[in-house]
Amino acid sequence: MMAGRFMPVTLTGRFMVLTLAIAALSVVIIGSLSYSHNILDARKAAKGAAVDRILTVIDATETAATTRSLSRFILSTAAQPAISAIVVIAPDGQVALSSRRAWQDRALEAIPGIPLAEWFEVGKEATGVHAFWDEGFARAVAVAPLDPVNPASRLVESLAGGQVVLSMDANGYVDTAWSSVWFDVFWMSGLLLVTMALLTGILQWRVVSALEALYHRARGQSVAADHPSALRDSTPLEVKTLGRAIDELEQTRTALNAEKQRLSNIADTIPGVVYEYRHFEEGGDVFTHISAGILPLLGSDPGTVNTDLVDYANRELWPRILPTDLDRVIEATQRANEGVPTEWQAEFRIQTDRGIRWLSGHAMPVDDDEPGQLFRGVLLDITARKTLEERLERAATSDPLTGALNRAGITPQLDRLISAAHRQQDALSVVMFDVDRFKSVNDTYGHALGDLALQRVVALAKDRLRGSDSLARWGGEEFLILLPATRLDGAVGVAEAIRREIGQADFPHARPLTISAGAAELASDEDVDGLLQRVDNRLYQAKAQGRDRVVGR
Amino acid sequence: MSGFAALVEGSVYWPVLRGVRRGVFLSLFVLLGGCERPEPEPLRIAVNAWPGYQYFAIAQEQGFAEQAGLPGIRLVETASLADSVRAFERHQVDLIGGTLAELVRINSGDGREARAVLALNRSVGADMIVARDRFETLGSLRSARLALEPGSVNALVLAAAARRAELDLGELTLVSMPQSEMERGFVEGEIDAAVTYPPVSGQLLDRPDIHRLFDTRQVSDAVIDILIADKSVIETSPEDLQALVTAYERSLDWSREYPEKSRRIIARHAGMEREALIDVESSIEMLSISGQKAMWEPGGVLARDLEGAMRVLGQIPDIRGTNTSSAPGMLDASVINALAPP
Repeated sequence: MMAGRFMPVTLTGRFMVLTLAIAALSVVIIGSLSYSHNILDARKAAKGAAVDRILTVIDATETAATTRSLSRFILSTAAQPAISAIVVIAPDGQVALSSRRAWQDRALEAIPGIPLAEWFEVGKEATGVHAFWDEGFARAVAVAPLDPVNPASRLVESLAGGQVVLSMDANGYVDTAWSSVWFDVFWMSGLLLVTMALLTGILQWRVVSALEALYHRARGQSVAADHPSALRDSTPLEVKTLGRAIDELEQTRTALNAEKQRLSNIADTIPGVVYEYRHFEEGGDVFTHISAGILPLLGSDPGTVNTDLVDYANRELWPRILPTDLDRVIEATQRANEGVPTEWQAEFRIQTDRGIRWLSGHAMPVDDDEPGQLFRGVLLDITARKTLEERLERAATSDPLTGALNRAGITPQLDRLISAAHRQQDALSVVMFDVDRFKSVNDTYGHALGDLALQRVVALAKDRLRGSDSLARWGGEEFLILLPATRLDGAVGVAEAIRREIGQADFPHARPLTISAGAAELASDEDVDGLLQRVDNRLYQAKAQGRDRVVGR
Repeated sequence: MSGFAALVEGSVYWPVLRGVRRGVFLSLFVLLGGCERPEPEPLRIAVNAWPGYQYFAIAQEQGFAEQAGLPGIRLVETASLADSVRAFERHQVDLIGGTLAELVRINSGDGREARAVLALNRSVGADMIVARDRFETLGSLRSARLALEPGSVNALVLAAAARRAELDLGELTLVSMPQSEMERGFVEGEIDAAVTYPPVSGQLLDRPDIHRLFDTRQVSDAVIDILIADKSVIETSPEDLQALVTAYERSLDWSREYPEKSRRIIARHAGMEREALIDVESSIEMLSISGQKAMWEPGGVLARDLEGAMRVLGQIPDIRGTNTSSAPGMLDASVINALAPP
């Protein structure tokens, strides 16, 4: 990964790194080879010079008249900067003569600074003049046995069997060698840099510029996508082939984009919302796609929503579902995802910017490799249908004249409340009342005033009822009141109150009206029919006993 | 190349490439630096066996030179002052220990120009004329074969002796001979007298038939040893010269503090026995920096002696005549002025 981080991404960049690396490696190799060659040569030259000089000293030992004159010769010769020391060693290992007076007449081991004793040992093992390289001091050391042939001085003769050691300071030779090494390195570096520049130029001219054009085209930045001939004739075949492939890809991509746009337009223009939704067991459900229909659906002006539609839907849709309907939606989602995923369906209300709207959702599960369960579906605004349904329902269950429930409207309530009262052992009472001699009102004042009188009776009765109570026109001028959680006494009280109210009220036909009523409380194990029969009997009793009264027993 | 630049510079790796480029330039810089870096060379000083010069050996052995900031000093030992001069003229050394005679001799030729930069010591009896016992007075030397190193301090001593005995140098039979040959000269009967100095003087006086006829105790300031430097060294490396003189001064201080250790080192480098050195010590007066400032002033001892030396050396056969250099030009007090307390 580290190599990846530091490797340039572009072809030219990588080529530059590669050529630099090769150039650096070559320089190191050339430098190493040149160093080996030149330094070895320098050592050889220094050793040769040391041998030449020591032969001169040996000649001097033959010709010197006295030890003193030989000493002077040695001192003068050692004044040459390249010579660091000349030592004449007697056979017993004592320094007889030296370029340094301090060493004279001393044992080799007692001389500090240079390993004279070591050199002396090397010389003893060698035959004839011997030169070697002393790495520690960067010196060439020549050692020659003292074997006078016909010395001018008897004193020199006494040194026979000893050695002459000459130490050359080879720094000058080594410096020259280093200069050669640097020269070689520079020469090689220059050559490599020029070669590298040429190669990079050719690469740029013949390949990179063509690849660069393809690169921009592949990124969709090309202004000449229909111009494959932008590649020169001299462009390599591989690059040309690549260019054609990129052109075909570009055409395919353009066609795909057009198709994608067409599908998107369809989804955005059909009524309702087309969406993709992903459900996760652990929560965090999201819309992954949503058509533009979401904006009118939520009542938003398309111009005011600047964010992505998917973000907008995820952010806005859930909080707008009415709390009373949210459970239904969640339940539907759970149901659709139990076991093998099945279709999801729900009708619910949302709070839009234009008020509460009814939505109907219908989605089908789709298998894919992504995490969670994908659904694709539609959301439709069904507010108009729901309103119509409500109106139809109201028409079927209420009396069009008085607005009270009709028999069909109250029967389901009767069944439900009686079942509940039995189940919960709760009280339930009913009151049935009838307008006394109402036929004569119709006959005398006409049906129009009769209808108004009935509407007035219903209004007066409703005033005396609780919210949980129900009033239905049971037939003609006969009405049934359903009183949940009410004992018989309460029912009789309600009936009496209504009777008194109606008895004291004014009516459009300007004559008073009275009612007769029966009241009954649901007995245990009594069904609807039994209860209605009993209350009907008591209404009959009230009529029989002279009307304008309530019978509760 | 715009496309090339765009491809490379557009990359997020451009900083890396830029780093590589910087590295290449840095490497080239280092390579160039490696080629051109001058290797510091130690100063090379030629000294003969004269004990008064061996304080440079103390500076070398005790590491005072390095402590003063020099890359070291390299002592080139010679058999005589004449050999020191020869090494100097051959560019084998940068400085030599010598006398005003050597200074005049060097500047009389067409080769290097030399300057005195430091007075090292004053001979108070160390330089002498020795002779076979039968030559009892300076005047008797008229019939002797007198050995001396040509163009050397010997001439100054001889001139001082001649002045004192009112001898004409032309009356004498002079034999050119290096110090190292003088003992052989006596043994083989080649010479009868010699102008000499330690350690050769000690060796000659050890012989039973040789005695001291004259020495520099009898003439004050006749022989002053000096450090002679190449003019270009003074110009190009004044700091090195000052460091050398500082190290030398430190050697003198150290020798006063540790006389026995100092004596051991000096004896070894002078090729003398300890006892012989002790005999000589009283005839050499070492000069410190502070003690010699007055010597360097115009009309001071050095200027006066230098003029005398030029005159005397001109009279002696075998000595080339002095040429262009004037006496004051040969004395360079810059080091002394820089280091001596005001």
